[in-house]
Amino acid sequence: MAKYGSDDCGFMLLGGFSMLGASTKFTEVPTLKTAEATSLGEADEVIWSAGTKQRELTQDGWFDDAVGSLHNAMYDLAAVQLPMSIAPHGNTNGAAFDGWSSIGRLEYKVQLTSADLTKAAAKYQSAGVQRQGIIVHALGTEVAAGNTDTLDVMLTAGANPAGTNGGAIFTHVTAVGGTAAPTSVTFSLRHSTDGVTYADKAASYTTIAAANIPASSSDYQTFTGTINKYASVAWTYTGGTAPTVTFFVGVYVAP
Amino acid sequence: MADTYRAKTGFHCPADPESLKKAREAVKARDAGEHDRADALFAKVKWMEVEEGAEVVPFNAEILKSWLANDAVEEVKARG
Repeated sequence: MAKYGSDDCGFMLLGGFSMLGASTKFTEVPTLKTAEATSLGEADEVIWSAGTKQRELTQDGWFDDAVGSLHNAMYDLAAVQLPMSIAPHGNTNGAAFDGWSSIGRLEYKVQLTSADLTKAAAKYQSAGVQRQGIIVHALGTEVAAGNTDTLDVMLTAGANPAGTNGGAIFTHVTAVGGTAAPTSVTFSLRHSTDGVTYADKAASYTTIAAANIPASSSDYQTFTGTINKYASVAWTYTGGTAPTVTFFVGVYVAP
Repeated sequence: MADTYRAKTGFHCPADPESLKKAREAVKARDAGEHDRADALFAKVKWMEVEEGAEVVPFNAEILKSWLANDAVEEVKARG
């Protein structure tokens, strides 16, 4: 059995916020909702599943007021819900990541204590689905329009295809730059049966505006049908001079 | 005369026979966990980008096989 340490954690992204450096502990608590279903004539209480799960997430860490970090993400408890992605197995192409499609920000505590570093804690609630996928573009900066076709990221170690029941794409953009930053970046998902020809699976599936970084610079969306064994992401810029973009893309394959 | 195909989707593939050969070797190297060798081979590959709806002529039978395996093209039927 593989074991992972805290130093393996590659990133922690909420929308376009990157909070790894401000975090010391992250906990997810899934709870199965139940209801009492006892009928007349039964001596013992009967409890049935009500059919839904609740996922509450908590984060402990350091107070960090840098733009795009924890305090920036949490202090006004913005109502908009954002995708979240965490890489407990490392920020590596082809590694697994955990993603939540829609996370609401519930609570934020700043803890000032004498003779100690200032700490901060956050509480979230999942308002969507939780998925485990594969990193197709590890969080990192690209300096030109391009694609990851030459990485041959495999969505399955088995035979082609990776799946026939669709899946989902998680995308987080944390920064743009360059001599002049682009106004937006457009992403496409490609797939391949052989790692040689990569065909569009979801052409131009999202465009992230630079003006929305970090508050709303992420995307979760589903796709249908077959996804082949090899996956790749391609990105293009609108505007900018020698533009750069820092982003993560991961793909979940439905069983 | 070589058959012409139409791109059913946008796609990206090696641009010539030598690049296709290098790409095939690179994929094998990657699958075998030889990442440095794969990177070196992929660095020598020339690529071409084909937009959806564009007409393309395969440079050899092997690249056509790859296009078809990826459902990237359909044959353009001669009129008349």
